[in-house]
Amino acid sequence: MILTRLSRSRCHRVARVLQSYLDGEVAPPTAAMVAEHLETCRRCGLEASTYTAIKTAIMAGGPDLAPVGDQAVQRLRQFARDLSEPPRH
Amino acid sequence: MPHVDVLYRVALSLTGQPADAEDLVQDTLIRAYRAIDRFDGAHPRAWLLTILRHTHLNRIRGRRPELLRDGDSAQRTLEVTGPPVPSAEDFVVSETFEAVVAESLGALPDKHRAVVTLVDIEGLSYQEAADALGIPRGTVMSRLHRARGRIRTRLTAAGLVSQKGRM
Repeated sequence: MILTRLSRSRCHRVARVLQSYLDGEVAPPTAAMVAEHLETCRRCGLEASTYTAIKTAIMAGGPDLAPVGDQAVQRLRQFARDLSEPPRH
Repeated sequence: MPHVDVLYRVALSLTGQPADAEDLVQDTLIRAYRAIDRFDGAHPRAWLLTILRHTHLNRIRGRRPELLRDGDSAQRTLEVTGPPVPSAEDFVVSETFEAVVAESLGALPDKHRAVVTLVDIEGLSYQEAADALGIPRGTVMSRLHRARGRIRTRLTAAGLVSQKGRM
């Protein structure tokens, strides 16, 4: 009974920080606590895999900037180089 | 200049137009070089993103002054230039996980979609997204988590995710 309450309490704590954990935005001690819990709690593990899948699907469906973006980024890098190294006369 | 690609992608999110985004990054770089003496050397990406946001606001101030009447101006700009939200008639429930996620993302409120775009697609940290949008880090976090929660709710409604997790 006590163990069940403790486990539920840990589930609530993990639920509050789960997305930040998956984004790599929690402090190391919190990350360790969440990682340990996810290994032993099936329900929270499923929740983590759901949000990981959502995050992956969003990343995969992002705009493809490669063709135009690459050229633009190359021009901007050159612009930045020109700014930092003005032509010598 | 290792942060040019991130600046360009965030500029593209803010302006919605590749040419405008390139101009915005050029102006940002010029401002950054002029202000380099006042930069303390810590968190260069966040520093550049802050300059980018200020530069963006200055550029639109002349064009659309009405956008700057309230405090959430960067967000308002995103709402104006962001992709249109599909109407209820446009929303078709698809059978695939990825398609439902994409449709759900399009149906999010603009301010929520903007945060998801910056963090999940552009790869910004919470603080960097906060700097780019001019909102507190906690607001980035709450909008992001709420947005993903909405996507999860739609996945559950489509039968692709159970209440307990992915099926």
